[in-house]
Amino acid sequence: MNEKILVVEDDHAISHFLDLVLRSNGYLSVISETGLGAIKTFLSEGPSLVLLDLGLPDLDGMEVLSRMRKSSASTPIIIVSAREKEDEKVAALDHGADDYLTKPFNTGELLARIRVALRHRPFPDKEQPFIYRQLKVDFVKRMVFLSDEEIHLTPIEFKFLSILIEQQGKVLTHKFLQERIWGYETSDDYQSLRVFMASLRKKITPPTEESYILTEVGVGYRFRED
Amino acid sequence: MKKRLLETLLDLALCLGALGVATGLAFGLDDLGLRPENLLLIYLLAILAVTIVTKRIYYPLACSVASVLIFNFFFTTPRLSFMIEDPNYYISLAIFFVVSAVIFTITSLTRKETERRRGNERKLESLNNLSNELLQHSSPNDVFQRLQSELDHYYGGGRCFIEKTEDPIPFGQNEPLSGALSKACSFAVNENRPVGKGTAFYPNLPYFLYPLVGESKPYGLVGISLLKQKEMKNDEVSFLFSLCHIASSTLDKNEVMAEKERVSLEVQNEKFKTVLLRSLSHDIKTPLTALQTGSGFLLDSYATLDEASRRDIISDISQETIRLSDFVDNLLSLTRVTSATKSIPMKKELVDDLLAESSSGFKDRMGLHKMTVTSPKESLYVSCNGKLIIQVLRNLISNALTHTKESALINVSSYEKDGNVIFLVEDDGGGLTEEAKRDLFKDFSAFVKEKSDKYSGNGLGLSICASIVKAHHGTIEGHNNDMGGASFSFSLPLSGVKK
Repeated sequence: MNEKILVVEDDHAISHFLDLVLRSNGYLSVISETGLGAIKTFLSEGPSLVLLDLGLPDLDGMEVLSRMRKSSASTPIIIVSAREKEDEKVAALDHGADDYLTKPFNTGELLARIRVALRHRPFPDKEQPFIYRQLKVDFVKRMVFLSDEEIHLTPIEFKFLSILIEQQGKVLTHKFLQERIWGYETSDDYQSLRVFMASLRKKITPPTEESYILTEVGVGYRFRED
Repeated sequence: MKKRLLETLLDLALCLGALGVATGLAFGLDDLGLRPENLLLIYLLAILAVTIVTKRIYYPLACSVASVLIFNFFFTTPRLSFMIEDPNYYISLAIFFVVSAVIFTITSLTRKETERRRGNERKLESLNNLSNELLQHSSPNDVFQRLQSELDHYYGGGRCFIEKTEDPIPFGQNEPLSGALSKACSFAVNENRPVGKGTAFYPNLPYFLYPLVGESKPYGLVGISLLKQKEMKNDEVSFLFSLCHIASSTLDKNEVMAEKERVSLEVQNEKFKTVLLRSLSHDIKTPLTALQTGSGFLLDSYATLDEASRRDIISDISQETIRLSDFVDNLLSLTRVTSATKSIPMKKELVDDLLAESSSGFKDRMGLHKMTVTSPKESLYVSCNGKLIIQVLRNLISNALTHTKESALINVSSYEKDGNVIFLVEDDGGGLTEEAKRDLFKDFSAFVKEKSDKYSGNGLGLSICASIVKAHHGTIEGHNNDMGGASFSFSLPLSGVKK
């Protein structure tokens, strides 16, 4: 069955283009140009995923986001917006958005994010080792290999890596990671978290490649996905 | 209190002294056989002296009575008694009284006149000083403060207040004005007239209010409390008038100067904006032209083009959109830096994070170039606006990719040095020409002005880097290195280390 995607976008050219891209990639798409219309469609049609622009003519996009979240906790919502301030990104992510794409973007990126958001969890199967390029993680034995050489991770680094892999391709905010790892908020601008992440990133980056962990300063981290 | 007692004692001593000297002199002259009527003149002299020296009316009065009694006692027959034989003396004594009264009156009138004149001179001088002073240094606040101190000096501290139109909180007193007073104040300012006790408006109000109104607008008013006093005297009113006039004309002058400055700044900004817009539209039009012609051509001749040409055109279009998108990022950064009236928002960022984000995403543009990223050994923190610093690094990396030969090596690194964090982007791809060196990091506005007509957009990125680093109180530099290429580095103050 084809997945139905609700596109909330008030610009004709972009919504037309998105419609084209989605349909030619095997999705069904429904376009809504207003916030209220989008909420109505969301309730009546129950789409599998929402692409939401924050700048809408009638409602604030954040308002639309929170109303959709209220009626369905699990439908993935990807924000597609020209607003690029870190605070706004973080606010949207912490208020239930699954991902955030800044305009302008290319279609490859968009489709990858959609795939990630639609992938049904739980993932990965922890019985099976996780393999990404030169990285291999054995969750059962708690062992990590880079180019077949074992690398040593501290327990916290291993926990970080597991969470990132669990949500591969999705941006995870500092706040989310902080709460998952330590279970409480901090007021130190997430300094320890960032130090752990920097050290993990160094350990699992092969010398010839770009890092597997993507950093978004002021927002969070994302495990690369091709 | 003590001072007054001392003054009284001194005056008394003066009176007694004058009378004593006069009596002694009279005895001497009497011995020489002078006629007693003449001796009376000596007492007149003494009274004149007392009138001039002492300040109160009773001293000369008492002295003249005493003189009559002493003269009568010592010098009229029968001597050493208050009896008078010759009736002529009655007349002499009466004349003596009258003359001394006249002397006294004339002297005190002269004295009052002198005092008044001296007071006027003082006021005139202080008006003069005030206007000179205000002409020199005079923010509106200065004017109000000087005016207040001048008022306190002449009318007594605590009795005077200044109300400013711009300031809803009373200047001279802490409590808000009572209803009637506040109504009278606005009346005075609106009608531009003195109001309060002694005038035709609000005569029952125990205040005298004088408006501070300039040529173009009202500035406020001066109020003087008359709770324990009758109405203002004429000269007090005219002094107040002069003070207020000086203050309001100084404020007028300020207003005019501020307006002038604002207009000239506006003109300058307008000019800058025009030049900027022209250069920017040029920068946008170039990639846009490529997009338009490319996509138009593709649309019109799709069927006749072979597969490879189509791919070429599409890849060009894609490149141009990236260029345009980078350009917009730079523009946004520029507005963030230049429009920040306050300082830009900063957070503590980990140097590793900054390097990681800025060096990612260049894969498609790498071609045969190689890039290495070396992060510092320790965990270094800098206080910065992460987005903007990443923009600087990305501009430097992007420049290195654009301006170096194929297969050049690009090293991105960062390290700590003397309390600063140095970010370094170096390559071995040919280096900078002399002209390029000269124009590096030129201030953006200067850049726009200088190149207003033949501006090509090269260098916009670097001048934006310079503005961003400057806004972080850091330094940026570029030079040729010994690898046969260019090195660009900037430093930001270190704000923390975690080993």
